[in-house]
Amino acid sequence: MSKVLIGRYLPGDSVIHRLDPRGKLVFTILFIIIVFWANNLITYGLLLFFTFWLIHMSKISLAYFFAGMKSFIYLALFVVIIQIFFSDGGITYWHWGILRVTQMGLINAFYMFLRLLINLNISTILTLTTSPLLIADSIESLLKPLSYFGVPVQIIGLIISIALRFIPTIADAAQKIVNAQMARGVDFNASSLKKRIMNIIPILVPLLESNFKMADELSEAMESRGYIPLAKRTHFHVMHWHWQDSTAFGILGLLAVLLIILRQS
Amino acid sequence: MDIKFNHVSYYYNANTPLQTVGFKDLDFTIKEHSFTSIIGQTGSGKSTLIQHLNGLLIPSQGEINIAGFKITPQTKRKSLSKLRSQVGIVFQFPENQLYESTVLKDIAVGPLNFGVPLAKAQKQALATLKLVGLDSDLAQRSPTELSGGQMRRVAIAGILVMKPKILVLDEPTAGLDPYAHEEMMELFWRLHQKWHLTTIMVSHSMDDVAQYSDQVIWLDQGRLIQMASPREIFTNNQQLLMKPQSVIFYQKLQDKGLQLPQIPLTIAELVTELKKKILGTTIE
Ligand SMILES: Nc1ncnc2c1ncn2[C@@H]1O[C@H](COP(=O)(O)OP(=O)(O)OP(=O)(O)O)[C@@H](O)[C@H]1O
Ligand SMILES: [Mg+2]
Repeated sequence: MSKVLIGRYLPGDSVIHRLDPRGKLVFTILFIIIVFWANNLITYGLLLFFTFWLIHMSKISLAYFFAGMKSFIYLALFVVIIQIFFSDGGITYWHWGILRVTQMGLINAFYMFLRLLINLNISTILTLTTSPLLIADSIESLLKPLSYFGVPVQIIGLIISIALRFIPTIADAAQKIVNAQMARGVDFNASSLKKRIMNIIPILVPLLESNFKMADELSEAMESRGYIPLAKRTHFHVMHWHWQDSTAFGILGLLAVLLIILRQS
Repeated sequence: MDIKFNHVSYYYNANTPLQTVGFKDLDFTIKEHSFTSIIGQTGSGKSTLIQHLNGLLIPSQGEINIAGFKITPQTKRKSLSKLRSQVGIVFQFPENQLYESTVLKDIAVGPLNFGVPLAKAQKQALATLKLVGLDSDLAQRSPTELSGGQMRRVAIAGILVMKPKILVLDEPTAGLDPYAHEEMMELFWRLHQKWHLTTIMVSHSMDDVAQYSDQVIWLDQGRLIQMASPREIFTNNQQLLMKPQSVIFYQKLQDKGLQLPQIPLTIAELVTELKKKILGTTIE
């Protein structure tokens, strides 16, 4: 479990780490959108190569990166294999009842796999190189225009940052409970599925209880320190836009142009 | 059977950029039936060490011998489930792990998981409830209705009911009032003697450490500083910031020029030694 990378932040000092988090967030969203333009081997290949280049630029070892992605790559493969059996078109290689393997099915599944992989890569790069609190701050600052329509953007930002802040704390609490239950002989590697499902209870019940307690304590602590939800306040991290951030969007634009030229019309 | 640590190291997130040292190159033997305390500052590796005693963590290097099991980096965690019935670990704040609908059911979880039939498990659970000093009326209550101290006793009963040969305690008295603290330590001491346990206790209470232990393992930043009897540990160790009350008091007496044959580990010992000294010398 400890190797899983999604959602984890890996402090570092690369160009990618230093980019403005707001820019990175928008970049990632736009990138995921332009991935839909890709429709042939060259365009998918280009995008995949681009994500590898970003990993390289963020000074994260490729081997470590993919060790952490392994379980998600398997999951993507599973989705893709199901896709193969239920799609139609072109030469049919094999069929049995409603299941079939066709030429188009295989090709589409392959592209779908590449798309999943590209999207997984780019979003993992974002979370690996940006501290969760900065991501929350960026979401808040991007939502700011909505506050003119009465949306409590600040509170949404607060909710997101508390949620992100508590992921490791809750993971820690869960690990402690798992340990304590294992010490009492709860076998989390049990062979029967029913047993495995039943084993969730000894973890879930105490975990929920401790989460409610934590939420209670946090709100009391905030109140006793005079927290006023809608008060005007400044941020601890002040974000700055540099020429590197503009360059990143220049590169994204270039990538978009290339995609339009190279895609199959 | 003794517990042996043979040059054992443990790294969290081994072989990743996030790798951190849990502890390094620990090498010691804990004698069977002894009472051993583990002391050290926060983050010194005490809890990490404890989790190696029943195979929750597997060492990154070295070899551990415990209760007839040999644990090396190649050992599979699955093969150690038997070990867990022999090594009972009471984790810090164990009251946070209760989940069954009644106290009795919660205490019986361990035996049931290790294959004891239901009727027998419940009988054992009831006996253990009394052993930890709780009224049998509580058996059918929900654990959430109990006080914090009672919940802790229930959780401890949930470990004791498995009749472990080795009992491991991670700060068992943290957060208890002085009276409950005293009672809890007396319970562990009584069981230690009656069941011929090998007891291993992590504690920040130097008074408990001095009073009960045969030997003390002193860790700092994941390394073993010293393993010795409490008297050796608390004599002349300037680096050790916390000491038992009796030792602190004696040091003040020493500054005033009073000398005893050896440092007193408990208040009772201090009083006896002082009496001997004062009544033995001529009073001016
Ligand atoms: N799950 C974990 N992941 C990574 N590092 C950890 C983890 N748990 C502990 N550590 C690190 O291992 C070292 C030893 O921690 P450990 O919990 O064993 O200390 P401790 O002596 O029990 O401290 P305390 O008195 O606070 O309970 C610390 O530097 C800690 O940061
Ligand atoms: Mg600890």
